[in-house]
This record gives sequence, structure tokens and C-alpha cells, in this order.
Amino acid sequence: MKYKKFFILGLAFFIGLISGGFFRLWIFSHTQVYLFEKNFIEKHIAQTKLGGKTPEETWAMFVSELEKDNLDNAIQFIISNEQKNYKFYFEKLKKDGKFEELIKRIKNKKIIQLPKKIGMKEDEVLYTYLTEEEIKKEGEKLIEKQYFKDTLKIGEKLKVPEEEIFQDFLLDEIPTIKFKYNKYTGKWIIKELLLGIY
Amino acid sequence: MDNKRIIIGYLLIILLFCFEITYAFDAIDTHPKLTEEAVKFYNFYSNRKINEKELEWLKEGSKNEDLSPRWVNHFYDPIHNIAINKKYFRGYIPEKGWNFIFGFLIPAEPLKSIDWSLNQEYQFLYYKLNRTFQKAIVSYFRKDYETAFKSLGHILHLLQDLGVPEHARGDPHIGRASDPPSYFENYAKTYLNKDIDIAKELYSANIKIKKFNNLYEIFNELAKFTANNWFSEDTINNDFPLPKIKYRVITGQGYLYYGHNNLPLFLELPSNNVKTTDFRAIKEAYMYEILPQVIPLSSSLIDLYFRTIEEIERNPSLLSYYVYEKEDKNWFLSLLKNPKKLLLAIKGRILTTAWENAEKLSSLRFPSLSNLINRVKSPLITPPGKYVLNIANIYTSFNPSNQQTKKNLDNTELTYFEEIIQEIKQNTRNNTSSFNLNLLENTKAESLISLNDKIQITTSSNDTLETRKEENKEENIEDGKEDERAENHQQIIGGGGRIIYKDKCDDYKNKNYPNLIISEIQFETNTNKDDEFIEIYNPNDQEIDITCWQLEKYSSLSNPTKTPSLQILLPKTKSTGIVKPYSFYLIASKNYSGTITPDYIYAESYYISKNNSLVLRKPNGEISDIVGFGDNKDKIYKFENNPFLFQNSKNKSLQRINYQDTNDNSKDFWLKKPNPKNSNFQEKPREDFVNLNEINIENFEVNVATTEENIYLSIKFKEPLLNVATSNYFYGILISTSSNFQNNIDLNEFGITSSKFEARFNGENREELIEINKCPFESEFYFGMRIMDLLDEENLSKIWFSTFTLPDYFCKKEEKGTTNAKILISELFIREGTSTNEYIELYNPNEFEVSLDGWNLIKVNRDGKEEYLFSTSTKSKYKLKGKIKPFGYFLIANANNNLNETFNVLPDAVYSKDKDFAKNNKLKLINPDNEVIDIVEWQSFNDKLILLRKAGIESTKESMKNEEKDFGNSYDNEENINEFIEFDENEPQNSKASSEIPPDYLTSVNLKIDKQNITIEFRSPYRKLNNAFYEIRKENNEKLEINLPEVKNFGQKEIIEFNGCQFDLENGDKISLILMVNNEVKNKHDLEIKNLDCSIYRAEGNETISWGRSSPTAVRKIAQEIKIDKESYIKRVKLRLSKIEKIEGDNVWLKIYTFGNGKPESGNLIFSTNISEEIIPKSFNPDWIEFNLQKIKFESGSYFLFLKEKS
Repeated sequence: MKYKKFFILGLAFFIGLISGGFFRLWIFSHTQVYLFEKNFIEKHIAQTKLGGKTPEETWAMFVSELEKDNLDNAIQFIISNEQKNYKFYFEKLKKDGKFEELIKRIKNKKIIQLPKKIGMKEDEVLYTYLTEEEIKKEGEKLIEKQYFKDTLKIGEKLKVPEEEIFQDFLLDEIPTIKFKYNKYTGKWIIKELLLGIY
Repeated sequence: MDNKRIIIGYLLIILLFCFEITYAFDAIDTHPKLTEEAVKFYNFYSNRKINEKELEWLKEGSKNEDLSPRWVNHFYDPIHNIAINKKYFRGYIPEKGWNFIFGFLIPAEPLKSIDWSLNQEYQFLYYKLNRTFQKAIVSYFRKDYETAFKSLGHILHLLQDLGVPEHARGDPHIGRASDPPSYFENYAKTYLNKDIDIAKELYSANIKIKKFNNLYEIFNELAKFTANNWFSEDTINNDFPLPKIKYRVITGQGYLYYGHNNLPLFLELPSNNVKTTDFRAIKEAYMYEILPQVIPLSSSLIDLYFRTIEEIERNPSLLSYYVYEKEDKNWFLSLLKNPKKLLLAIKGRILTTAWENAEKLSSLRFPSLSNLINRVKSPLITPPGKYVLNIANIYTSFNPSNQQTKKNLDNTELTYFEEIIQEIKQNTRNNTSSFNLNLLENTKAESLISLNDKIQITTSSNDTLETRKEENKEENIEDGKEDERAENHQQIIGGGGRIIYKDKCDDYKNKNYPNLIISEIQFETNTNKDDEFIEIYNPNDQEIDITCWQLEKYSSLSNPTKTPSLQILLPKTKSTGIVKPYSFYLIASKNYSGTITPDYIYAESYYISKNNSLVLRKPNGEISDIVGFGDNKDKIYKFENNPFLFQNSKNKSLQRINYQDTNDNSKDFWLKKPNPKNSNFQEKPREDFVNLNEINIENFEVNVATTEENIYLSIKFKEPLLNVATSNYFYGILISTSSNFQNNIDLNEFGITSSKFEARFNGENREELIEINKCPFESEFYFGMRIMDLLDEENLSKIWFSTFTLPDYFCKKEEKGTTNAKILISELFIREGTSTNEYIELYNPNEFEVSLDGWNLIKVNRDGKEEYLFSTSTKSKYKLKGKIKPFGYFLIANANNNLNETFNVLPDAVYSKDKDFAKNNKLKLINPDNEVIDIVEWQSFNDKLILLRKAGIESTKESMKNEEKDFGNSYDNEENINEFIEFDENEPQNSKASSEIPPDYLTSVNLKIDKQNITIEFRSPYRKLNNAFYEIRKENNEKLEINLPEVKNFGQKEIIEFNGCQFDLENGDKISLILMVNNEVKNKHDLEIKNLDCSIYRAEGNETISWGRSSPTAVRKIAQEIKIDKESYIKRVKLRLSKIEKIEGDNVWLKIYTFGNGKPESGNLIFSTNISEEIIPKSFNPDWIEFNLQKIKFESGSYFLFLKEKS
């Protein structure tokens, strides 16, 4: 009797422990993501309505809008939380007189798929508008850059394969377009645009 | 109250157990590795070596320190001297929410890691309890070595964490949602290579273990080094004085900023305005710099530990400083005197224990049903992983420059750490060189082999000879005078000094190779017959050296018995290089125009064409693959089992189906868009591949299903049963007007939002509903469905199809209804508590027909909320459509009605049964331009309400039942007030009901005559008439000039009054009331004058006055006062002559004077006449006699009528 209270308290915590664990399992299995994350990222994916059936189609539509100077339309293909940033970026390019250069670079270019960057998810793909030859040229330029050489040097000490470092660097060096599959609309949207002009 | 708190507490615990947070260097791999290296480094210098068992305990301890929720105490910002900084949670946990969530679950505010490592009382409250430095000391002396070293492992963990910028800057790094992870930690986890012997390298570099006096010094040393040299992800360039930005370099995507320490610190991406530490150069430089700090300092900590132990051994009394008594005694009993602390201890222990164990429990991954359901609902599409450019191969192709890079690296100045590594590498190289083949030995070996080779050369087959010829031919074409022998053969000194040549391929002939296969062939394009390539594929998981492999082409057979000509497209003398696993080798003609760079180009004089055979041979002549292709099997020389036959290869190349090789060309190939791949590409055959062309589905059926608001296509079929687990296949939808599906209609034309649904291949019956939102036109459509491949748009099944027709109401073109017309709500039937039989009757008050297409009714409830009665959706079953004839009706009713049975009338349109009217509602009628045309509003009522629009302005319930019954319901005062009357009979009328035309003529015309006064009463027309006026004419068409009212509408009651005597009207005369419209008689009413009295006016009953004296001889006078209250016209005078006994021979005068002073003859004489005997015969003595006069106008006032007998 003396320890009844403690016994009840202990039992309650044990129930809390079990139910908490299972509740978390339940959330995981239902949402696939954390609640916070769901609210944050999933919301923006769901809000991005435009896109193509393939990354290539999305890109073609996006470039077409840029060519027509319809910035507001173009950014609709980008994940909604980034649209403002990219609008600002394109407007800055215009202000700096670099927008035409961008259009010239991406116009009528077929995009090709690249290996994924570290951390990219299953439903994300990486593309570039450069040709294989242009990528090679960028690679040639990269290996002459000091920060690459420095890293390569360190990588050697840390026993990291050179090819891996090279790939990681080159993917950060060349223009890339990260597409994400929007499971809500069945379309591919642009998650990140690194166009190599700034 | 207590119960409430406990319940809230439980809820919070459950809530918290729902989150898992990542923290610090990875506990599983990184900390144990760092600890291991620290121990090794310590052991290099120490006499008291740490043994394997102790190392394991240390590693175990360094793992366990991360158990929840101990990690909240792993932060120490030495610059601001604070623990975890809540403001860097970046929204993951709001700063304000900290106390709410953690305040309950953590026994007290988080501590700085240095304090945590020494605070026994505090740690005592946590799961795993006291793992402080003191505990490690005390346990050692109690010979509990396991606890001692595990505790020390915990402290090592805390120290090592301070090598992470996020920890040394108090930056929580959840790695979820908006709070980024520590990219440094992640990098360390991935790249802290287990094979690196850091301790040894440091030791070799003569790095010593630095001595510290206490833990604070060690922790501060590392924390300051980290905090001052790197930014954490949330503290880039803010809040901290160091590191300072020194310069930046431009990278492909942004700016890489370097600090005062010449270390790359962060990358700025201008395109999305992001600053991040997630850049390889930054992370790798960090790793490189931090390891030589973390490991020696960890060793210093171990050193401090043993020095402390030694000190206590010298002076055992010191041990008491480290003992935590409460822990040693029965903690529960010892704290009984301090209940507050006891409760805190109980709470802390239970909560932290529960938290950690709940995390462990929930980290178990069970198969999740809902996960699977989610996958089916929204299949996670595997990205198109085709033809991913192999960048690593590009790097490999830079070999020469890499060498240069390496040379450059070698020449750069080396730091101490690099020097060590360099030294170690040198040693390694020296050691490994012994494994290299000695040149002399090689030569010897080859000379031995060459004896056998000679035999092989002499016995080589005809094919080989032919090949050699081809090689020579090609050499000549390709390279002119190149000396094949010199290039392809090794010069060997034979017996007797004779020089013999040995084929360089001899070395490869004895090797066993897996098969390579020919995976794609393009032999022509539309524009160029020689634009060709052959793609070779390595389907094995090992790389294959293709040196001395050969690709042959056999021309088509002109004669079945004749051997066709042979060309060597890839001679073995030229083939070289490695084909990586699942990679390609592209051989192309010089005329090849594709963008992918071939690995080998053959001369333009060589070509492949239809009915050729390609043979890929291994160095020993063994056939690796044969492909025969064309349109005539008889002309194809070689093939596997059956050639691949086709008729038209327009714009297509021959491609191997999913790189399969069943040794039957006819089954292994198909025609697809050219897609050459070179050695830079890698692609595995798909495990989930299905040749959709071979798939069939059963029981395919398409039906149209409708609801009130939606239209669906119901697709039923039986899924094929395939043993494939994939979400890469889906059913694609096609709609066409013909069964060949050549010109398909864009699905957007049907408003179909998704053109596909996933394939399940489970063999089950399935039904899919596809919502149709638009109808492009009226037609019978063909619905087609086929299975498609997400990863290969050309991998298609056949099309299964069926016809369907969409409902008329959906497809009929909606013409815009009439907009510039007035339509009125004429009757409304509303019931309380039910919508059954509620109806709205519309009335067209116009002379023209009105189309109601696009019109709508809006119900406004008592709160002002509006609701369309007819959905504006085109696909709604219920629409307001139809025409309403001039002065006709249109009946709209709730779908839930039996009007036919109840009122013997059918509604013209129905609306959804869930639209129910109630008290205090409002109903608006809007036209297609959304202009409100009519509004009816009603208040409270009992059970039911019938509102009937009035016919005219003065309509009443009675008049509407009687004289105005057929006058329509057109009263509209534009103010929506008093337009309706509450009626007691239902009279719903639909479009078939007779028109009820409001009169455009005068009604209720009535004539009244009172003496001289004529009054005509009538009702104005009910319809509005323009340019209309009234007239009153005599029979002779003379117009009576009197004031007449303007012509109004809506049956306005009018009264016309005038003096009949003024216009010389007589009884029996007729006058006409005429309605003139546009100067024409629209309507005429003849009225007969009766009872008109134009005689002297006798006002006020003051009939006669006898005035003067009566005398037989004297003049006798009779006078009478006449009072005229309004203007009158007198045409006769009635006199009462009873007092005149005889007037024979007399001159009798009738005179009328104005009133004057009130006596006869005192006013103005306005009338005088001599009355003869004819008029008044002698002895005439009637009461009254009439004298006809000429018409005299009497103004309002008093007059004297005076009869005078002249003497």
C-alpha cells in the first residue's frame, strides 16, 4: 500500500513509453516524414502545380517561359518556397544585363542526366544543359583550380577516391537542375537551379 | 489539479517520443573511431597502455553518450560561454516552445558540455546515470573498470563533439525541416575512413600529447579552435568574431569564401540566395585540419585521467573529492529528507529512461501497411535513371592531366601532417613496388610462351587470315603507312639471333572472357545512309578488357551458297581499353552524326546495311555475339537462331531488349529511337523490365458513370499477373474519335487531370474512376488504355479500347442565354423542414422569348451565405436550360418533387435535392452576365409559404383569384417591395401553360354622373406603353379639352372628372374614353350620358326665398339665393312658381344677379330674360317650371335668381 502511488506512477510511465513509441511508429508509417518536415516541404511541393511529365518536358516549358520573358510563369515550375528567391535572381540577372546570356545558353539545349549529388533523394534527379563535351571541358578547367587541387591533395590523405572527389566537385561546378517528382500532381518540378551565371 | 498535471505530462512524453533528433559526430562509427585513434596515439607514448578490453569499454562509452536526451548537454560555445543556443533551432522547435516541451522532460536547463562532464548530481538524473569524469575515477579505484572506462568514453565523446563547429557554436542541427544538419558531421561519418591510421601518422610526425591540468583546459582548447576557425550552418558570418572573411574565389555556381586562416569556410549561391558549408572543399579541409586536433586532445584527456589516478594513488584522501555519496547510498532514502530533490530525481530518471527506450522501440522498422497503401495511392516514381553520364569515367579520361596534377601536388609545399602522410605513402610505395612485375622476368616469361604461339600462328584459321587482310586494309585507309607489325607485334630475339615477331594479341588469346553483346545497331538514317554506329555492351559485373576483340560485318547473301564479303569494323589491332561493368563501347562510322562521342571510328568506306550480320569475337576467335538483321532471312548470313526481321526502320535503330541475350536475334531486339552510349555511360539491365508488347489484359470495359455534380469514366479490367515489384509501369489513357488512335484528343479537352494510373500486375480485377470535367464536342469517343513504362517511353503495350458517349446535358454547347431581358420570379413555394415539392415559377413579362441558358438562381441564407441553385460546373447534371415564351412561365423545382401527382404539372428544370429553402431566406435570379435581375425575400412563416407576384400595383389575393387571374404576374416596382402577396393556393405553371398577357388596354371602366359632374373610373394598362395618352371624345368626335392623367402601367386605378354641362352634353349622348398609342386608337370605351342635370344649382337646401310684398297690383317678386360651390354651367332654371297666382298680361322677367349686398338687384345683372305667356301660361300653378336658358357659366360663389313681374 505504501508504494501503491509509485507503482501507479511507474505503470503510467511504462504505458507512456509504449504508446509514445508506437505513436511515433504510426506517424512514421503514415507520413513518411516528420510532422514538421511534412508541413514545411510537402506543403511546398503540393503547392507547386506546374511541371512536365518528364524532367525534360518541365525544362522545356520553363525555358520557353523564360524566353518569353514571363518570369512569373517560369518560376511556377520551381518549388514554391524557392520561387521568390529565383525571381529575385532572374531580375538581378536582367538588371546586370546577364539575362540574355542565360537565355542564349539554355535555349534549345537538350538536358542530360547526371549522377546524383550526395544527399539527393530517391525521387530527385539531377540534369545539366551542358553537352557531354562541355562537361568534359568544365572538368578540364576544374582540375586546374586550386581549391580542387587542395581538396584532391587532402582526399588522397584521407583515402577518398579521386574520381569521387572529382564527381562531387564537378557536379557543384557545372550548371545543374535538380528536379523533384511531385507525387501530388504526377509532374516533375524544379527543386534547385544552379545555372552558372550570377 | 494533480491529476491534470500528470495527464498533461503523459501527453508531453508521448509527443516527445514521436521525434527523433540527430546529433553530433555519428555515435555508431565516428566516435568509436576517434576514440580508437586517440587510444592508439596515447599508447604510443604511455607506459600504462590501454588494452583491447579497455578500448572496447571506451568505445562503448563514447557510443552511449548520445543516448537521448543526454545530447542536449553536448554543446559548449566558449566564445559566449553558453550551452545549446535555442535561437539556432531555426524554427524546428520554436524558441518559445523550448520550455514547454523540454522544460518538462529535461530535469533542468541544458548544461555546457564541459559542465555536464563534471556535474554528478545532474547526470545522476539521466538515463545511464552518472558518467562523469569523477565517476570514471572513483570506479577505477573500486576496481569497477568497466564503468570507469565507459565513463571515460562518455567524456571523450563530449570532447570530440567540440571538434564540430555546430557543437562549439551552440548550434542545434536537427537536419530536418528548416533546421539544417551539420554537414561536417555527415562528412566525417561518410569519409572517416576506417583504414586511415591517423594515430600512427601523427606519432610519426612527432606530435606529442599535450599536458593539461584539468578538463576545462582541454575542452576550451578544442572548442575555441573549432569555434574560431569554422562557421556552423546557422552561424555563417554572424554572432561570432572569428573566423574573418579574407577573400573569395569564384566557383561554377557561386563564391567560395576563405577565412583569415586560409581555409574555405562557406559557399554562397547567388541564384537561390543560400550560404552553406555544404561544399566538398570546405568539409574536406575541415576534416584535414580537425583530426590532428581532436585525436591528440582526446589522448590528452586520457592522459589527464591516468595522471589523476596516479595522483590519488599517491594521496588516497583525494578520492573523497570525486565520490558522489548520494549515489553510493540508497539514493532514494538519502533524498527522502529533501522531497523536492527526490521528485526531481525520480522524474529525471524515469523520463530520460523512458525517452531513450521509446526511441529504441520506435526505431524498430516494421512493415507498414499504410506505407504500402501510400505507395499505391501516390506511387513514388523512381526517377528516370537512364543513361546517367558517368562522370568518374570522364575523370579517368583525364589521365595525363591527372598525372600532371599529381606532379603539381607533389611539388607543393607540405604541411607537417602532409609530410607525415607523404612519408607514409613513400613507405607504402616502396613496399608495394615489390609486387610489380619485373621487366626482365616478364621478358623471360613471354619468350617461353612464344614457342607455343608460333604453332598457333601457323595454324590460324582462314578467318584469321582474312581478318589480317582486313586489318591491313584498314590500316592503309586509316593510317596510311603505319607499320602494323611494329605496332602490334613485339620484337623478340629468337634462337640464332633471328628476329621473330610475336602478335601482341597472343597474350589475350588464352584468357577467358565473359561475353560482350551487341546492344544497338544503326545502319542508316533518313538523311544519311552511312550514318551508322554499333554499340557494344558489357552485361557482366566485371570489367572487360577489349584489347584484341574484333567486330566483323558480313554483307548480305546474294546467293545462298556463296560466302558473303567480310569487313572488319573494329580490328583487334585497334581495339583497346576497358569496358566497365554495365558500360558501353561505341563504334561508329566516320559519317556518324550523333552527339555522343564514339570510342572507336571506322572508315567511311565501311558500312553496314540491311541483311548484314555482325559478329563480335573475343581475342581467341570465340564468338561473343552475333546479330543478323534485315528484311529477308535468306539473305542474312549469320544470326543467332533467327535473324531480327523488320520492314521499315525509319528513324529507328535496332536495340537489344533490356540487354537480354536469349541467343535468338528475333526475340532479343526491337526497333527504337537511336540512343547510342559510349564508355562514359553505365546502365544495368532493369530487374523490373517487362516487355509490354507481350502483355495482355482481360475484361476491359468502359462505362460512363454520373452523379449530381460529376461525370466519371469507369474503367474495369483485370490486371495481368506478373511477378514484378515495381512502380515504373503505368496505364496511359488515350481518347480518340477513331479506333486507330492516330489523332488523339488532348485529355485536357476532357479536363482529365491525370493521364495515367499505376500498374499493379497483381492479376486482380480492378476499377478506376476517371473524372471527366469537360466535353469537347458531341460524339462517340474511343477510350484507349495501354501500359507504359516510366523509364522507356517506347516500351508500350497494345491499346485496349472501348467506346463511350458523354451525357447530352454535358456536351451540348452552352449558348449564352438572353442577357438584356427581365425575367421575374412569379411564384414561390417554400416548405419548412422539407424541400419536397419546393418550386420556383418564373414569368416572362416580355413580348419576346427568353433563353434561360446560363441563368441561375442564388439562395441566400439568413447569414448572407450564397449558394447557387444550379451548379456552375458544366458537368453538373442539373442545369437551368430552356426557353421561356413571351408572357409564359417556367417551373423550377427541387429534384425531390412529385409535382405531377400533387399539382398535375411537371417542372421544366430541377435542382439538387440538398438545396433547401428555409425561413428568412432570399432568392436571387441572375442572368448570364451575373447581373441580379430579381430578388425575393421572405421572413418567417409556418409550415409553408406561397408567394405570388401581383399582376398589378393594386392586386389583392381576391383580385388575383378573380378579375386579375389571367393578367400574368408582372408587377415589378424595381424596389422588390410589396411585389408579392402571400397566397393560399398553389398555382405552379410550367412552360407549357398558356401565356398570361398583362392587359395593354383599359380595364374596369366605369362612368358615374352626379348632376353636372361626370366621373370616369378605370384601370390603366398593365403593360408599359410608350407614347401613349388618353382622350375623351363626343360622338361627333369632338375632343373634350379636359385634363387627363398620363398613361401608367400595372393596372393603376385612374379617375377622370369633368363638368358635363360645360361641354354641352345631354343625357343620351355618348362619349368615348380612348387610349391612344402612337397616335392610334389602341382601346376605346363608349359611355352613355345619363342623369346629367344642367339646371340651376340648388345648393345647401336653401330653396326659395320670397322677397317683397304681395299685392295684386304691385309687382310681385320672387327671389332666390343660389349658392354655387364650384364652377357650374346652367342651361335651365327651375322655378317654383306656386306663389305666382296669375301672370297673364304681365311682363315677367327672370333676372340673375351676382350676390351683391345680399339683396336682389344689388349685384351685377348677369342674365335677364322676358318670360312670355307661352312659357308660363296663365293660371299655371305647378310647383316647378323649367326655363331653358343659354348656357351660363357660374363661378364659385352666391347668386340671386330673381323673378320679377312687371306692372
